[in-house]
Amino acid sequence: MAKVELKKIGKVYEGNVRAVDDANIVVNDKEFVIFVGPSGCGKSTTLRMIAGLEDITEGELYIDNKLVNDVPPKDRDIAMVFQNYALYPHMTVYENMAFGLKIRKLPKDEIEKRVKEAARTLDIEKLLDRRPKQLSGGQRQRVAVGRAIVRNPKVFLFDEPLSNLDAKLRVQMRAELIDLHYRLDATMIYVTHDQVEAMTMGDKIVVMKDGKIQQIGSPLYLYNQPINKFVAGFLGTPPMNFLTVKVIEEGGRIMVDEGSFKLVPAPEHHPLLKAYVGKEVTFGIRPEDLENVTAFAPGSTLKAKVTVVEPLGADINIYAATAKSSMIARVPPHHLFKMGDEITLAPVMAKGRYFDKDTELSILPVRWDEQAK
Amino acid sequence: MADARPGEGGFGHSAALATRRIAFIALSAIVLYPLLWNLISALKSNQEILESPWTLPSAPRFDNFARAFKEARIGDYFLNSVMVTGLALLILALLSFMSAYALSRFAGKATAVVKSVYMAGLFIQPIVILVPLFLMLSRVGLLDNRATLIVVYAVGALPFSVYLLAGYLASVPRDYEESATIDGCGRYAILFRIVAPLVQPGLITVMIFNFFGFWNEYPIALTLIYSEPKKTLPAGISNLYEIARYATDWGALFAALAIVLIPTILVYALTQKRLTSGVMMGGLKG
Repeated sequence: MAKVELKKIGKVYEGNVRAVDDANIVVNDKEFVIFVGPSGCGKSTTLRMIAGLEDITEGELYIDNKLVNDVPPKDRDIAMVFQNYALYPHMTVYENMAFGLKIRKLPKDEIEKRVKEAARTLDIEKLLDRRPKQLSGGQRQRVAVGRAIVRNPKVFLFDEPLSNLDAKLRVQMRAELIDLHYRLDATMIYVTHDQVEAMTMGDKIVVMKDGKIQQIGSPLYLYNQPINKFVAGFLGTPPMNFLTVKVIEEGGRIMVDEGSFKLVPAPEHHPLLKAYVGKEVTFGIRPEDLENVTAFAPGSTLKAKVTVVEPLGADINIYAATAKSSMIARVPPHHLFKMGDEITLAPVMAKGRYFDKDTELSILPVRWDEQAK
Repeated sequence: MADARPGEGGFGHSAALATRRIAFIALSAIVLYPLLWNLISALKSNQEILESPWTLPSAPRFDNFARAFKEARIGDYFLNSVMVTGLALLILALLSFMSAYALSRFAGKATAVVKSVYMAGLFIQPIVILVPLFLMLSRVGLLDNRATLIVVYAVGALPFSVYLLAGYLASVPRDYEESATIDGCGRYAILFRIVAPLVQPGLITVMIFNFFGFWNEYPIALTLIYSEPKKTLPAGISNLYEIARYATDWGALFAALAIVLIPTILVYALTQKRLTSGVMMGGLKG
């Protein structure tokens, strides 16, 4: 197993189109790292550069401390699972899984041993004689993973492998891949645009946008300490609420004023907000940090009108609006809300985030890479 | 053809259907009758052919075939045709596949030039360049050579075949090739172990289309080959016809024609479905 290190990696296509810019990532041995971001953010290009399917325009790529910029894919000791599986249609499942080993001229009995072992691991032993078109989406997915496993590579690469599956199967395969990582104890890099996959599967998430890495860290670190408005809004469903507020000082107390309500920030945030007095900032609060309270509750509260109610069973998503802003609150299903009701919400101010209105960067101190020293 | 479904349409519908069927039967008769007449005449004696051309033979004269084979060298012509057509198809399949792959996978100035050359080739009928081709080959001493004919056939059919295959290849996702790259395949292993099986239907279509062209080709074969034992069927038969005009062995001539026709009919009958889907393939994706 191996460590993968990207140093100032960049990709520029013909016509000076920059797909990836200055990517610095360390994927430690046995780590499960997720590249996540909206389509066109450069995550797949980065993965393909690691695989060797795309040339690296600038920077250095190390696998196991060896510079591999000019090493062909077959000699990088990696295996890749593609979005549409790319199972060879003219070969059986067995032949598909054995192909990479056959090309590498492994002895026949060794190939058979490895294929059967992988088939057992993935519970596809009964499918070995079938052709890809005779398999369901989930089975194809398993075979594609099996083809990667038999190679016993240093690094596994996954390019949106679950995006062609239906919602239910996706949840199941997600759990299976997590389990597989645990059992194989392998270095894995996984690309997805689905933030739920990113949050649930990875040891570490790399959030990308417009070819640039936004932030690197564990799922919870990124969820709780987003470096900018994009990361804050990208991770989490429903997404974080963003309200434009003005920082004011009243009687020596720092407050944020939305127009229709005022909130008192948590004491630890006061010193940082002081520099913004008189200016507008973006206040971010997650839906689960907006508590539904009675109209006479003490502390910072706000009143809003319910516009949409989404009962999910375990909790309710309430879409509410003030004169200036709209927000979503996730509350326990204790109370039946109707559209048009007035609701009193109390933001958990210690969980609130503040972003500079121009740069969209977090005003609260946050690390760009959680592990970087 | 749309068949009438139960409960659908009334008299008008079945009348329309009947009219359409009669029209198709009539058309089929027009196409099939000469073929059938040829096959029947191949079994008649010379006298029967001249005196009662529309009747069945009193007794089948298989010796017509024997004569065609023995005296008119049809056996030699047949073998030459098989060899020339077979080898030309093989060379064509290999060249057009590799060329189409390069054109569909590598974009650049060089490929654009090659594409234009093929495009130009599509508009040039072989008959137009027959005289310069003859002069050129005669200067380098390659006339009356079956290998020359094979190469001329294969190369002449290249533009059309490359276009057909490039269209087909465009529909084959590159992921297979990338997956094979990671599996450890080199360029040629990818080409022949992964891509070739995937474009097999396209390759077969190209070969069937060109089979008819090569098997029946007449002017080039007539111009480039002049010694009797090297001739292919179409050229050889014309020779037979010349002889028949004076010796009037019509039975042997029709038997020889039947020998030319039968492989064509067989190939067409066996591959008809693939041919029509091949036309669609070229039309939609080419």
